[in-house]
Amino acid sequence: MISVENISKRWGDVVALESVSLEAGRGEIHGLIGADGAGKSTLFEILVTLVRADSGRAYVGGYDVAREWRAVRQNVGYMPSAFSLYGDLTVGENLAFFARIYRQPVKRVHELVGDIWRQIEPFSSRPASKLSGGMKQKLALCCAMIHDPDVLMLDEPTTGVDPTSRSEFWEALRGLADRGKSVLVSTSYMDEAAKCDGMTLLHRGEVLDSLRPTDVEGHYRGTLYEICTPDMTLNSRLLELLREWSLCRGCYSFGDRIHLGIALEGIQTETVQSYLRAQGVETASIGVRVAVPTVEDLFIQLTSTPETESGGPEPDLA
Amino acid sequence: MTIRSRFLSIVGKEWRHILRERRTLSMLFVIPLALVLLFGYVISTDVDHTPVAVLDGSQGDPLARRLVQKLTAADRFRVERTLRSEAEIDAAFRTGTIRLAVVIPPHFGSDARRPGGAQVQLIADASDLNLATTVLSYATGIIAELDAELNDDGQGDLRQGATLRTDVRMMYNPELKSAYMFVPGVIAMIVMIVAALMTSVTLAREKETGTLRLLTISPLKARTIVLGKVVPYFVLTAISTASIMLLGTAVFGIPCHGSLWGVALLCSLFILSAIGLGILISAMVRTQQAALTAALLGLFMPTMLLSGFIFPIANMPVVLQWLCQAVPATWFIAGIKNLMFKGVPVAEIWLPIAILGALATVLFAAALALFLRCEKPTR
Repeated sequence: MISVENISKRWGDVVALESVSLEAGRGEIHGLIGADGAGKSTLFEILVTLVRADSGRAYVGGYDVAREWRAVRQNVGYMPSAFSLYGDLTVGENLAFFARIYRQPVKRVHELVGDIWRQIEPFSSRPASKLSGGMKQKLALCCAMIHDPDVLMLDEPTTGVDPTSRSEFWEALRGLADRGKSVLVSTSYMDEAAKCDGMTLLHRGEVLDSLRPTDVEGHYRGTLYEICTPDMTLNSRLLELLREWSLCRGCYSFGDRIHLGIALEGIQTETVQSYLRAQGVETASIGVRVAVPTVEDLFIQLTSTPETESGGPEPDLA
Repeated sequence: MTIRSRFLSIVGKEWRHILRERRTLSMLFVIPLALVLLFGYVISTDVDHTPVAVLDGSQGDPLARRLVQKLTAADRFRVERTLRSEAEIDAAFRTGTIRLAVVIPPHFGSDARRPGGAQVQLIADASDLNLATTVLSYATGIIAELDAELNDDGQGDLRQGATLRTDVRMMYNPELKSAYMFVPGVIAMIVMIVAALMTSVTLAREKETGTLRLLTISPLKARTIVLGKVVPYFVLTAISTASIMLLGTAVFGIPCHGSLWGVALLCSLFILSAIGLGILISAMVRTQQAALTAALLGLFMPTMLLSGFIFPIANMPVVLQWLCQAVPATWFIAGIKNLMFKGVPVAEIWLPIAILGALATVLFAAALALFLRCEKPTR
């Protein structure tokens, strides 16, 4: 349903997208994972036919976004990253307006996104600008869905939304996918990647990797260790010591723990312990165990260049 | 039907935006009201005990004394100052204590008995034209009465024609800019605020908040989006314009000698060209702030300063006069002035009508072309 082939786009001298490709099938939620400035919004603008790509091809719902843009527009529901409804109109008026311009009966919202609409219906007469962040996004989803598009394009729909609303929102997306909609959703929350069927990791306009959430471990090179200290004040010293270690391929704070990547296979957890002991650290209370890498670990590994490997870029911690 | 309903949905949405912004909406009616009342009352006239300066060149001629007595008899005028030379006239006006100067020439009494008669010069401060006109009409009336009395006295048998003639001079406003000029001027300003400024800001807001992107990828055509904006703002501006006219007529008795349809046509064309300018601005800016600034500097200021509303165009340097020709309000004010105050037939103001009509057409075409370009995926 969504097929992107080598799309490139420059804004003046700035490369926004460099030969980006991805595939998302019918009934699939595809995540576009990347930090701010990765080119996610530009890709959305190209796919919803607001912007023309410099090169490459893209098909949405089977239509070419460059040549059959009118057909694409009929088949796509789009939620831009910034709240793009009329703040001075009420919830009901916003929905009615979009229903009218798409020539749809407003009641159709019940059948299309009934579960989401029921959550905001009590606020129907409230101005859209007075809604909470989560409510705004739910309303935007209803408006984007009112013409029953086959493909949904959601640009950071959960940014600035509270955790409960976020999970409700994802439930709704799953419901839509189950009804055969293809959903392309971007996020900078790494934990949301696990809720996708497939994902594309985007960094500075380039695709780092395309994979399923279940494949993360297989795509991670080497072994990931999780180091647990009784006292978090110790963490900064450990980070410093581990980064100096010749075996270290990335070491960073992960919540209250430390994640350490080691490229060599077959290193025991004791090896880490003994390295720390050799550096004069009291290791009795320090737990080291092999961890299953998350999308975030993979992302950090992929974005680390050899020079900055020990530091790595700041991960976008949700 | 469907296209119309889409069009109507845009129009309906726009009305909601307008009606919901209570503060802006009330300002749209309070500002013209305040302006009209302000301008109207500043020029309103009270001619009781109007202070007058007398320059008696005849040095106490009996006829001169009779003239002054006659002038002050009915409490309309009182002699505030007695002047000794012409040079003092200007100073007397500038101190602001007098409204009228009466200059009686030397040999006034003997002149009156000669065939040519005597001439009294009346000098009024025309910076307040309405007041000046009223004061002068009273004064000339009194002098005419005196003239008639002189005839009845049997002293007129020696002369043919008038014994006393009045020579009226206006100071400070030689162009005799009409006192009612504030009505077309206020209308021009309000039209720029409502039609141009608000249209550009509301379209820029759709750009800024991203709603225009949603409209772009919706089945709406660019022309539907743009025209859907035009209709509500046209109606709003027309109501505002009509209320200024009604207020001017009802409260200050401002005349409309010409065709009402002509006035309506001229106003409509002016409003349309203002809306065209507004759309053009919004097509070129990204934010509401930029639209506001552009409209204020590019439209509102020229309308105030370069339309002949505040400063007479004829007094400007030639380059500025050319610039004035490029300001729509100049043509609007010129047309309205001729139509309403002079009662000129509509056919005679074809030039302002043609220019405003052409301007509206060109501006709309350009604005639509700019928005159409954004309809397709952009580079």
